[in-house]
Amino acid sequence: MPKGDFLGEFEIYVLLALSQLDDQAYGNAIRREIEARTGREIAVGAVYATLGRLEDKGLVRFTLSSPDPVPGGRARKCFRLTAAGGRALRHSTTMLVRMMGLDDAKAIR
Amino acid sequence: MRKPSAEAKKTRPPVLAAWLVGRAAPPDDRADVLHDLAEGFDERVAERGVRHACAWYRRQALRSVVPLASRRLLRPRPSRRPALLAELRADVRYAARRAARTPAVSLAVGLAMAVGVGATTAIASVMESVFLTALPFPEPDRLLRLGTAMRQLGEAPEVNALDARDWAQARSLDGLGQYAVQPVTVRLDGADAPVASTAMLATAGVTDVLQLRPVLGRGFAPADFDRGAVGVIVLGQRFWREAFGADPGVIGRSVSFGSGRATIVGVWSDAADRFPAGGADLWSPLTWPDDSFLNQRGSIALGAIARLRAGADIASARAELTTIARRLATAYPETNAGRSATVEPLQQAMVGPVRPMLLIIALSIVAVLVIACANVANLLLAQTRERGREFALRTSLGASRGRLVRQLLAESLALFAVAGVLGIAVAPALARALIARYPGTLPLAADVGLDGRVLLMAMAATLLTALIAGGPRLRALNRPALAGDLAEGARGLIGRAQRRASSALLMAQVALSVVLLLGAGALLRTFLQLSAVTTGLDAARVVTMRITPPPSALETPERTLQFQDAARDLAAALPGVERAAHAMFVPFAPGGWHDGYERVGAADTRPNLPMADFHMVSPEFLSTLGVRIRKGRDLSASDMSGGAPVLVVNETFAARAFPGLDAIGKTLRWENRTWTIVGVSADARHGSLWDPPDPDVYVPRAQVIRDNTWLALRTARPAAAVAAELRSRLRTLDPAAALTDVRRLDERIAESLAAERFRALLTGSLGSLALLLAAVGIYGVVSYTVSRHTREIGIRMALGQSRRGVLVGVLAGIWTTVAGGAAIGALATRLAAPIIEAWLPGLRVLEPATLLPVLGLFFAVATVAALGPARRASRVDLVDALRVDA
Repeated sequence: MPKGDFLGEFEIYVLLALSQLDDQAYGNAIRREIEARTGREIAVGAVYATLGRLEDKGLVRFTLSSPDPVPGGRARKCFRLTAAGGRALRHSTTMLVRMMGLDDAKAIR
Repeated sequence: MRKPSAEAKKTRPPVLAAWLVGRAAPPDDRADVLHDLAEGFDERVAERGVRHACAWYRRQALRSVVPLASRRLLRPRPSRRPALLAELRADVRYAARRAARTPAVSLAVGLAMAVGVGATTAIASVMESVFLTALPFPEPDRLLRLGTAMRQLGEAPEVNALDARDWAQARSLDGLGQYAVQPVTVRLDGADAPVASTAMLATAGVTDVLQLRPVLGRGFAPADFDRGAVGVIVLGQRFWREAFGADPGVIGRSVSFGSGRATIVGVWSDAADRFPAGGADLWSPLTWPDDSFLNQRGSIALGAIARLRAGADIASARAELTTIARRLATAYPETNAGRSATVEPLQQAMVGPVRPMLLIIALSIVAVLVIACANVANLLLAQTRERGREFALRTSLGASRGRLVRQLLAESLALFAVAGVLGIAVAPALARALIARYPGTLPLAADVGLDGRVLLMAMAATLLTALIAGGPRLRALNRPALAGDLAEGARGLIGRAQRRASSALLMAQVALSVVLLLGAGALLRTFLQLSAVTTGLDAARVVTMRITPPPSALETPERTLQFQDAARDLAAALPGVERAAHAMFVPFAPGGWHDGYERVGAADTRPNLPMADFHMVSPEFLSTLGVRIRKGRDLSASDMSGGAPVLVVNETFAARAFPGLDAIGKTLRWENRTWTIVGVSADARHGSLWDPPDPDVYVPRAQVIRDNTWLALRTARPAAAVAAELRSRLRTLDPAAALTDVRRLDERIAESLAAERFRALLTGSLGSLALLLAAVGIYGVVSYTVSRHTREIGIRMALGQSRRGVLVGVLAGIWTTVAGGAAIGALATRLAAPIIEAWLPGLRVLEPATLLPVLGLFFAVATVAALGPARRASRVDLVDALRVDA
């Protein structure tokens, strides 16, 4: 991600949630993770919209998992963090820490 | 925590919220979003119950709509538009490949549609030129056509010259002109061949009313109408282009014009080609000598047009003219009693006579187009079912129904775009052919072409055909039994809805064809009836021609008669000519003298005089024409000017004037003389084959001398040869005499039927075409039905039905459909009959004589068309039919 573009707050949450979930998760899992950690109800639509934007920026990608073995079962999107996504996340959090003055240059994970 | 209850398991999320989210979400994510929401819903139902779950769901929906929708709108799409276009291109290419695989069928379909669209466009452009385009004169809606209404004779589109001058005084009128259209021979000095042309003889009023302007030279000048003025001619523009190659050097050239000479002084703008209908080749001033019959109040011979004064309307013009006519009736009771003026807008008067025919042509063409579309529709319907497997496959690979519909639409549009383009290309030629073949002249207000309105009509026709033909199969796509299709392939049983659509199309085709054929049959019957009418004349052996006496012969009546007798004698002396006679008019040529007479001793007074047609003839006339004398004697040479005034009348006259008595010896008063009847002849037709014979009176020419001269020759030789010889001999008699309009009598009679022949031919052709198309449609549908029903047939035969039984079964099926369609067609004809018979008087559309043959023909054709497939059905191999897999 070019320097100078900033990630939005919710985009950072989504990326963080992904990184907490071993780098890959379904949309619902991401939502639940953010809900659990923030304690706020998160709209499914917001999660997917953000994931879409992140995918445009190349920070996440998804694969279609095999459909559920039920009639009318659809393939579901399984999202993962890309290498660029990981870098962007680390960059953003580093910037955050510096802004807050917590100059502990310890990288996330 | 509540135990999940049986109801909870079946609980669904709130439908509205789900729908809302579904709509807002980008299609890729829709499934995931809904799935996740459903998952969450189920969890909460299990945890806290339905109400809590629904509330959560709704909250989620509300808060998801905005992010999802803005994502959907804002995301940088790989632009949809090119995808659609690429899709379209691919579809069209695919359609082309498929069409190429069955070239015969595709070609037939394409051609049929192209001709259909082309014909429809052609008739539309003709009708636009006739009905929807205004005449190219200033303020054309203020132009009027005047005529005369007479109490006994009805209405005529002509006027009396003196009456017209009186009518011109009306304040509502701003100008009035009179005219006559005549065939005239013209020869340029230095050119070897004379040209037969149409001359418009007009008073100055005509050019004023129409506000004609010359594009070259000048128009009429007041001096041109003076007595003794040198003849002038103004050329019509079309004639100038065709006969003189648009050479500006024609101005000032001198020509021989009829029996005199004239100088070309100008060329009109092309507006002059629109009046009279069809356009006159040249215009010349209309003048007549004082002693001409035109100066008598009794003659009604000239056409008249007028222009409404600004501020006046037709009603006021009519009122004024009625007043004037009444004044004239009082002043001239002998001639003008019961006479009044008719006033009609000019374009309406010109267009009225052709409206019925053009409408019939248009409707017939559209009917054929619809039948052709129905054929194509059935064909495409059948194809679509065959492609069931293809569609099933594509659906399983992810194509939406919308995508399939778009593909079928693209195919239809491609086919019909091709048809449309071809049709539009062909239309001008078809229009020109129609105009050329039309019996009579079409009053075109402008050149027939493809302007915006007509092109729009053409596109509408194309679109309509695309919809009619492509429509039914789109509904066939509705059935989502696609899994079944995948498995069964093409052998499955036909869907009932599709079968019904097919039958409905077929019935519609049959109904329309039946209507067309009934109409054609009626017109054909009329034509044949008229052709079979006995004329009472020996038409195959009589040649008639018109003679224009030279000016020297017109100086006195005696000289005129001398010339006429001399011309007749020259003709009789020609080799191969048995007899010759001269007369004022001949049968089936323009002109006649309809007049009233008084029977001496009876109470005949104006205005209720008995009427008859008077024929001024030389003594040999009746024998030349082959008309036999029933009683008394024929006219003879001794009935000359000085002799006793005698007449020969025909049987109809004798029966009407003196019923039950012997007409010989009876006397009449006519033309201020008392005449004695000396002979009764057989009836002969002089002009109309429709009505029964008129009462005719044959008057010795010598007693009533007029300069109108026609010759009748009895000869077996061809008309042209005889005319050429006569022409050269006439020139020795007097070089200023002219001989024109040479025809054999039977040709003239045939020409008088030209309109009926044209109608019968055109509707007959269209009806036959419709029948052919319907037959093709029947063949196609039965073939297809049989191929789809193979298994069913096999089962039936296995259960004992004979091959003949199968055959009859298939035929019975088609007969039912045809019977249904024919019934609808006959009923429709019955309902429309009053309208059609109003348009074309004398036509009876639903006579048993036409109905039975048409129905019989239809059943025969349907049976023949269905026989092939039906036989195939009866020959089905049992083993093949009962096989389970495709």
